[in-house]
Amino acid sequence: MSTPGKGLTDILANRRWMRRSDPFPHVVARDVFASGFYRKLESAFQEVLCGDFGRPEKRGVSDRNLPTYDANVLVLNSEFSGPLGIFISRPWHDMLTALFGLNTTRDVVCALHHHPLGSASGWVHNDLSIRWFTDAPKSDGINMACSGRTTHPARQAGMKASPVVRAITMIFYLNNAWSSGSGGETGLYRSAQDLPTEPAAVVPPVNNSILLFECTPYSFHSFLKNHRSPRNSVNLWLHRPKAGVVARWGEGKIFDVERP
Amino acid sequence: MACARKRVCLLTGASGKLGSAFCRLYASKYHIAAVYRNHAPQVTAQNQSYVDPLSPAACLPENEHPVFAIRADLGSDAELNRVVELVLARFGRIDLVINAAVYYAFGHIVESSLLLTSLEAQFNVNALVPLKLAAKVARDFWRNRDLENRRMNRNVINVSSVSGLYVTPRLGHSAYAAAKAALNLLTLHMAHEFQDFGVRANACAPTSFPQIVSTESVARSIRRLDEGRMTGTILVIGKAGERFIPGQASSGAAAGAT
Repeated sequence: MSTPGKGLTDILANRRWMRRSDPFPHVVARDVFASGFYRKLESAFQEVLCGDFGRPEKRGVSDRNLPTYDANVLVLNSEFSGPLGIFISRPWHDMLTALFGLNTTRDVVCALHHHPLGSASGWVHNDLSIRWFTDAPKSDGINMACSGRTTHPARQAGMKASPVVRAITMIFYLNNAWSSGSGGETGLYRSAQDLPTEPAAVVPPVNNSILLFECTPYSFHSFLKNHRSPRNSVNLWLHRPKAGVVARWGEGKIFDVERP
Repeated sequence: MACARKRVCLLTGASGKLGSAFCRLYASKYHIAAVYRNHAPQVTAQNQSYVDPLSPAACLPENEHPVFAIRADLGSDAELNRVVELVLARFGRIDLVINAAVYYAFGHIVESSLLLTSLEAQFNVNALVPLKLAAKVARDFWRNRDLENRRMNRNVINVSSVSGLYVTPRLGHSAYAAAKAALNLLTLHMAHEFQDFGVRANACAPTSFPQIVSTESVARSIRRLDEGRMTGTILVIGKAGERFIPGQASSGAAAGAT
């Protein structure tokens, strides 16, 4: 692992993030980046949003094959660069890994999410699911070669792929016009049976703020319907070896679309 | 049981601007029971603490004085009662009640449906809940401890507003202002009734913060009210500074009470 934070000290504005335990362990912070760098992130996101990604017909289309997820989703590839590239950089990966003290694999999925005004609430879920990666890391060691939720795409391309499990979820909120009553928050829950509209805690999508949590069988969360304005975010997942997750919680706790 | 040196403060509206500022400034001076409705206060508490993302194992000074955070809907009598019972169970006493929870919906009387649908909530949060909370503390803990209350300088501070003192035209403040005016008079009555068992009651009525006065200056005024000996007053906090409006007591007959 590289030195956590190397290259980040100049752009991080807030070194006091809040670690919370209720309803499950998570970390939140506001004013994450220095204002100059945050403005660059906003501009970069807006540029992508104004392109193909933001078009209405792209709503609900993603590599995740989840048509009920009411958002436009753009998964970044390893060639993606510019200010948003900070989220798929090695220093960012290593900082999050150290923050949670986890053994991660450097396999990363990063996506831009745009929920148009009036997007439906999501469903309460925990993110503890399988992803398949081929081994094609960038020069800094971060591997973004995710072939999806099943091994099939990699096999069809004649490549070997390995399963890993989501370890850390990050949601960075940007380009939002949020105020109390706008909706678009991330709801946090105690149980998978909780109604999306009745979260135990909510994280508002305040610009330049972040939500992080370890993916466990109990990290229940959901997008909440946005009443007044679109909701935008950068979503990131770090991964860890499947064996450790199985040893800790059992194979049955992992969501795997290939399991009979 | 709480240590004797730190006063025990029951603070509502803890995640609001004023509540958060009070917690940040005075968590080292008080054991603060920080009551919030939806969003947890941005201060260290029993279930949350600060971490440096670049040095996650570092001990941070901000974590030295956690508040005791309580999520509750004070519009429910059962939850209000639970809050007082929790604080007494946790700390064994209550020395200061700060009613800082607020709810407002501005609008003009003949145009705004929001104003009319929010009337009950505005009066409940801004006037009735402060009275009920103080009454609950008084009944459960204060009223049989008059000597101890005087020795500990126990008191209630209700956060009102200059809107409760004057008519500010064209801002749509009618319901909010009337609720705060009600709170002012309830505070003055509270001061009279609570003096029987040695508990003071005052209101502070700040102008807009942080737009006109800083939120921290309002928090410091609350601190001074707690440290002082005055009771039955309204502390007006404006751009020009502070001034007290003393409560005017008169006999019921002379005042023409009917």
